[in-house]
Amino acid sequence: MADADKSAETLLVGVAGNPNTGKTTLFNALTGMRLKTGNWPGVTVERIEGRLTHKDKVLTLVDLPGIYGLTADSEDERIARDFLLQEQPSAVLVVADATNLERNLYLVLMLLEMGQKVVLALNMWDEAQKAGIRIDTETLSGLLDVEVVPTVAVRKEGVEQLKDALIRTIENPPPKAPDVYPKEVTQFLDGFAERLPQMKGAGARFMASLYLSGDIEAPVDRTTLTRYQEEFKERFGKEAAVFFAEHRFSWCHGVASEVVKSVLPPSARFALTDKLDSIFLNRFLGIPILAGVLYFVFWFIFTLGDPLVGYVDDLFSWLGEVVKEAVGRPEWLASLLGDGIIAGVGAVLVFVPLLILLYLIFSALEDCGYLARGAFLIDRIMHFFKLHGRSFIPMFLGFGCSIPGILATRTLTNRRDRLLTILAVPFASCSARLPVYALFIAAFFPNHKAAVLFALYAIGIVMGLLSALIVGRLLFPKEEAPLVMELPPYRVPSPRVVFATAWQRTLIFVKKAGTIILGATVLIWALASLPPGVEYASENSLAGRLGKVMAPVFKPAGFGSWQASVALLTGVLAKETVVSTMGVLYTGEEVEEAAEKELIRHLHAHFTPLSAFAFLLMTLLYIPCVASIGAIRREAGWRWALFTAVYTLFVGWLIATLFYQIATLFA
Amino acid sequence: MKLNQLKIGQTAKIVTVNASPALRARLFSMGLVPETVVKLLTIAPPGEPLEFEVRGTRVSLRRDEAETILVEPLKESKNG
Repeated sequence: MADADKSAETLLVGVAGNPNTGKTTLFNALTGMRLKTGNWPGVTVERIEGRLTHKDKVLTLVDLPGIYGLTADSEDERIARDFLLQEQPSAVLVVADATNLERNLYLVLMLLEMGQKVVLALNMWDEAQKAGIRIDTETLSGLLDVEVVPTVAVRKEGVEQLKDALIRTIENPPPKAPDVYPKEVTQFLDGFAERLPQMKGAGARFMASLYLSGDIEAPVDRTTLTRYQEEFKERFGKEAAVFFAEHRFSWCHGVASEVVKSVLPPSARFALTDKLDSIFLNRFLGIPILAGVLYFVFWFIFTLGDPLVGYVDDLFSWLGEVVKEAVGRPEWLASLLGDGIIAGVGAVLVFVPLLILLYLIFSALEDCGYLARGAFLIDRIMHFFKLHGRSFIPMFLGFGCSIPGILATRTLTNRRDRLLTILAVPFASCSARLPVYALFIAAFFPNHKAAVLFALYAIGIVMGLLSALIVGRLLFPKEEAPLVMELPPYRVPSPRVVFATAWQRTLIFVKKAGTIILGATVLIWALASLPPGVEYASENSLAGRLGKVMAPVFKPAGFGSWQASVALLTGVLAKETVVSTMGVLYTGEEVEEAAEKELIRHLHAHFTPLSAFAFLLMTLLYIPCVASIGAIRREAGWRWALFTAVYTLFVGWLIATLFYQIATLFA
Repeated sequence: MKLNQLKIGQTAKIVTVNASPALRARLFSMGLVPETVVKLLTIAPPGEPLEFEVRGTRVSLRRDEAETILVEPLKESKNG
C-alpha cells in the first residue's frame, strides 16, 4: 500500500470534536505553539495546522471546526466533511467531553461509519471523576474498536499516551464498522450508493445516508432521489432523516449506558452550574448582571487599553520623525518612510494592546461558560433584527472600537449571522469618531452637546441593526438563523490557555490584517503627497484633485467643498484624521489647542448647522477605517470587506443627503 | 402538545420533529431526536429563549423552534 512510502512524508491527522470539549487546548498541547494558519478552500474559516513529531513519524494535525455531527448543511460541518472525504487523513482524533459521553459519541459514530481510523480522547477526565462519572475505557475501546485515552488537556495529562495511540492507529487497519442498522438498511444504502457518481470506499454508504436524509444536496437527479427516499420510507416505516438520527442516538445511548457508571446522582455534574444559573439567569438579576459584565468588559478593554494604544502611537510618531530627519533628502523618500511606511506599521501595531485585552477577556468569558448565557439573555432583542444572541457582544464592543468588535464575531458559528454582525459592527459609533463630533459640536451646537451626541450614537446603532435586517433579507433570503445553542457547564478557565489563545489570535491579526492596513496607509500617503513637492493633502496634490472630483457628489448632502471630500478621504485612515486634515486645509496649519478657534471660524464659512450635522452623519456611517476593513478581510474575506466599504459609503451618503434635503425643506 | 408549552421543571418525550430540513438537522445533531426525554429548565427573562435538558446537556431554543417539536408529557417524577 501507499502507506509504506508515506512514512517519509508527513501524515495528516484531523482533530475533531464538539464545541466546549477543550479540543483546541488539546490540539495546542499536542503540537506546541508553532502553528500554520490558512483558510479552508472556498471559505473564510481559518484552517490551523500544527506539527507533531513522535517515534520518527511526522504528523500534521489539522484543527477542524467544533461540530456536533457531520450531516448538517452548515459551513463548519461541510468543512469537516470535505476534509475527511477529500484529503483522506491517516487518522482522526476525536476529542470528547468525558462528562457527557453519550452526545459526544454521535460524532464518533459518524466518523466510524465513514471508515475513518479514529482515536478517542476522553478529555476533562478529572472533571468527570469529580462528578462521580466512571467510564470503563477498556469496554468502550472494545465496543468501538478504537483506542480510548483519558486526557486532561489543560494539564497536558494523557498527551504522550495519545501520541502513542495515534501512531499505532495509523499503522493498524481501520476499525470495523459499528453495527447500527438492520442488515436490510445497509443493503439498501449500498444499493443507493452504487447510483452515486465518484463514490468509493467506506464513505459511500455514509454519504448515501446523508443524501437520503436530504441533509445535503445529492449528486443524482431529483426523481431518482425521491424514488429512493419513498422506497426507504415504505420499507422501513420512517423518513430516512428520522430513521438514521434515531438509530444513531439509540446506539450512542446503548454504548454509553454500557460503559458509564455514575457513583453520584446525575445532577452532580450540573450542581455548580445550576447554582450559578439560578443567579445569572435569574428573572430579575440576569439582565442587570449582564449589564455589569458588559460594563466590565468595556472597561477592561478600553480603559486599560487606551493608554497603551497612546504609547504605541507616540512611539511610532516619534520613530517616524526620527527616520524623516535621518533620511533628510530627497524629501519625498523621507516622507514615504516616515509618514507612509512607519505610520502604516504603527497603524497596525497600535491595535495590539486592545486585541490582547479583548482576546484575554473574551477567551475567559467563553471558556467559563458565561458568553453563552449572555447570548441566551439577550437573544430575544437580537432576534427581532434576525440576528443571533451572540451578535450582541461584538456590536457592543464596536462602541469602543470596530476592530475588537469585528474580531469578536468569531464567537458566531453560523456564517450568515457572522457576516451580518460584521456589517453591523462598524455602525456603532467608535471612539475615534468623537474628535470629529467634538469639533463640529463646539462649532455649531455648543448648547445641544448631549442631544447631538445621543442622536449620532442612536442613529449608528439603528442603522447597524437595520442593515443586518435588510441585507440579511436581500443576500440570505432563504437561510434561517436558528438559535439552537448549547449552554455548557460553568468551568474555571485555565489562565495558561487563555493567555496562549490571546497571543495566538493577536499574532494572526497582525499577519493577516497587517498588509491591507499598511498598504492603504501608504496609498493615502501617496495620494496626499504626490506629485512631489506639494503640501500634504493640498489643492494640487492627487488627494486634492480627487477631492475636487468627489465634491459634487456630496453637494446634495450640503458639504460640497473639495476640502470636506479630502478630509473624508484621509479619514479612511482613522476617523480622527478628519479633524487634522481640515485643520491643514482650512487654516494651513496643524490643529493645536489655540488653532481650534481659528478652525471653527473657518468651518462657519463652509458649513451651516444643517450641513454640519449632515457631515457628522457621513462621518458616523461611511467606511469605518482601513484597519476595520483589514479586520473584516481577516474574518470574512476580501469580498465582504469590499462590500462593507462600498455599502457603508453608500449608506453614509444616502442618510446625509436625505437628512440635508429634508431638513432644508423644513428650515 | 408542543415543546414550547411545557412548564418549568416538566419533562416530556419527543414524538416528532416537524422543523424545516435545515433546522431539523441541527436539532437532531444536538440530540433532539424522537424518543428523547427533555426537561424545560428555565426561560430567559423576555419570555424566550427556553433552556432544556437534553441527553445530559443544556440546549436553548427559541419559542418558534421549540414549537416544531411535538412531545408527550411524562408523569412528574419524584426528583424532577
